[in-house]
Amino acid sequence: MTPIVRRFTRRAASLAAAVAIAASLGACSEPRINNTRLGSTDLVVMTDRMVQSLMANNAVASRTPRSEPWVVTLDRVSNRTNDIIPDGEKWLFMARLRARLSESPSLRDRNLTFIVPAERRGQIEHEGHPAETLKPTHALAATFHALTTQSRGGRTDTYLCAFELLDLRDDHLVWEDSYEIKQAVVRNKLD
Amino acid sequence: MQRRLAMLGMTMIALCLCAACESSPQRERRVSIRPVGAYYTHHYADARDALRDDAADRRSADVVLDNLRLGLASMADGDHLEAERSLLRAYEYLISGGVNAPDRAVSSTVIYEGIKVWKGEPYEQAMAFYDIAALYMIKGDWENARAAAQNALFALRDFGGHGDEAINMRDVAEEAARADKRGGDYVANARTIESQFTLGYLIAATAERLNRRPEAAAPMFDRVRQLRPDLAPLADALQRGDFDTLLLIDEGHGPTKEAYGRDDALIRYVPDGRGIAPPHARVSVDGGAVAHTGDVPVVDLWTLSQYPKWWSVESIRHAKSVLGDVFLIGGAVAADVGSHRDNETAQWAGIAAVLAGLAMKATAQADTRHLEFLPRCVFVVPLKLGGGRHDVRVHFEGHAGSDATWNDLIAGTPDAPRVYYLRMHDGAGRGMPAWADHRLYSITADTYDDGPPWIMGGDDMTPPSDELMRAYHARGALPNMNASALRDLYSQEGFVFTPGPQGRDDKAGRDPQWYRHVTEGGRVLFAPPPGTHMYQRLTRTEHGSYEPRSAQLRSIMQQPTQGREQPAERGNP
Repeated sequence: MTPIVRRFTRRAASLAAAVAIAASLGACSEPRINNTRLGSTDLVVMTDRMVQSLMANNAVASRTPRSEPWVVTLDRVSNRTNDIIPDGEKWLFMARLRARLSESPSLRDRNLTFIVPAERRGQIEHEGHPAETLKPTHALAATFHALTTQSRGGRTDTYLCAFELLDLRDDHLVWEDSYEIKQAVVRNKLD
Repeated sequence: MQRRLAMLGMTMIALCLCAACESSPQRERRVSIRPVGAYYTHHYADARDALRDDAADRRSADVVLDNLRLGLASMADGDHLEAERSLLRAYEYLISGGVNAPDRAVSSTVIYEGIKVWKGEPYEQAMAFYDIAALYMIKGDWENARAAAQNALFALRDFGGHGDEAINMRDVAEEAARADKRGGDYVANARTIESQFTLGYLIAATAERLNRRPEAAAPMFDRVRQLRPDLAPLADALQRGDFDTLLLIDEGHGPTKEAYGRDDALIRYVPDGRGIAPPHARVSVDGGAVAHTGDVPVVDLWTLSQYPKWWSVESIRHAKSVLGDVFLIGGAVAADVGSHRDNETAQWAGIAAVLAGLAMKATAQADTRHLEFLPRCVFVVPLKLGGGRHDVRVHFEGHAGSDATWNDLIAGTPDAPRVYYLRMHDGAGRGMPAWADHRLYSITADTYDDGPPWIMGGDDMTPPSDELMRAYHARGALPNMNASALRDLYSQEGFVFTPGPQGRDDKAGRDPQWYRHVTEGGRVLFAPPPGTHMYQRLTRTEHGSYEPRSAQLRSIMQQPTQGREQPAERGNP
């Protein structure tokens, strides 16, 4: 056997044995989920920021207990991203938004009521006013947009979550704000 | 000598440990045989029961595959809740990066390709995203349908610049090995090309139009016309929105991934559809033939799967690597042993060659896991049905075994069409299931005809509601009972009204009784939508009589005057 082949055989055998042992010991590790979807942490941060922003808005902040009552319906969540947002998740997000708004200590001082549309009551735990007894004066809507870039190496989604509070009596936009977040994932050769 | 023995020992231990790993060819066979057989003999409930535990195993290398299988079987059957749960579970992994941890990736390279977490070939991934889109189309959720279909439009790779030329894997692998020998990287240098998945464009565009975003839909419809001029009439019809009902038809048995060549290291997809003309879909509504634009299949997977651009990089890399290793190691060792026949070192080299050969044989085998539930062809058929319920017969010119009539389909409106996913195949040569020509049982209030509920000897299996009670009372059935009382009675019998895990996240929640209809050995009384196998089974096949479980029902059954009437004679509604 020539020295080159001998050396090659030894090295190859040692490497193969080491790799095979290491690989077989770890070969059963759990498949991993690592994607660019919006997670629950994002939704928590987003709803908190939106509540703060809405309550700080002039039109809302200047209201008093004697202001004309506003009945705000959380009526629409639109998904314009390239990711699936199941109905349950959409309305979970709206439920949290509604809960955070309702918790706000200044809500009563501003004569604001948040309601859920009748057809969504199954998806959101609804307390307080039955929706059918209150006629909405305003609508709060959320729209999720995303810019997606994909390559062999990975995927990036830049999400823009835009919120609007619309006065239903004259279609006047009372408040709008948005929240941006970027998610990226790296792909390996097996993806 | 001792060092060599130790090395051999370590290798043997490693190989034994490998055998213990879950994802072996043996497990592959164990998991897939039963559900696939059940699926292709139209026993969808059995297929789902057989898959549910495996689909819930998030440690399995087949977690994506099993969830896609379960999702597709549930969608065909008519349990859209289970379909959504399973398909979304698969979706989470499909869009993830690094699903295979580095250790698993190394193992799949050096031990057996099947150890890696299955994510499917590009054509299977595209179809998986299409199926998720189809589910949301059925649910009338155009936004999520568009999002899912958009994911199917990923870029493809043109290996070796073959473009639209179909070429087998051996040729691709040899070409790759030659290119690499010249110093290039065949796989990495593959040209990236824009998606050619017509079905994805068509569904994404249709969903966008239904989202009232025609400007976003237009370029995708144009892309369909550019890729497939023969689909222009269909694209036109979908773009105009000139339909109130949309049929998404999966027809036939998809391609099978088969290993071939030395040590079964190469793969091919059979049958090769290029020599077998695909069927054409003809439709008749309520007995009369109707002209439509969806007669040509949008996708023929028997043909699509023949093109390298629809294969994964890893499949090609694996084939190339195995061919290369065989040449390299085989040649070097043989030459060396041949020149040192009488020497002890040469004997060791011989043993090493034999072991290397065995190891290579074991590791060379290609991974043949694939999504068996895919169809051969997908048809998209827009129809204008108008009001009422309709019987829609789909007939396949060239493949009559898949012909069937789907009953009681309801139309939507041009702005919100009703979408149906119809799974049609020839049941392993036995044809579609035998469904009666007329309705035997009702499962919705508007199709209720006469008589008491099925559990009291009648023909109605509609879940309780105020609308149902009004229909009952109008026909003199259960005059002293309201919806709440009937619901209580069903609950006494142990029935639930929604299929699914019933709030349990463990094995008990996967018990088949929570998914099967009460007429099929389960505890669920629910109404699957028309256009599904379960709807057809429940309404158009005979079910045995019901044995009361609760004292309350037994007591009612002993008092014939308690609003229970003799069941009406079954007949055409």
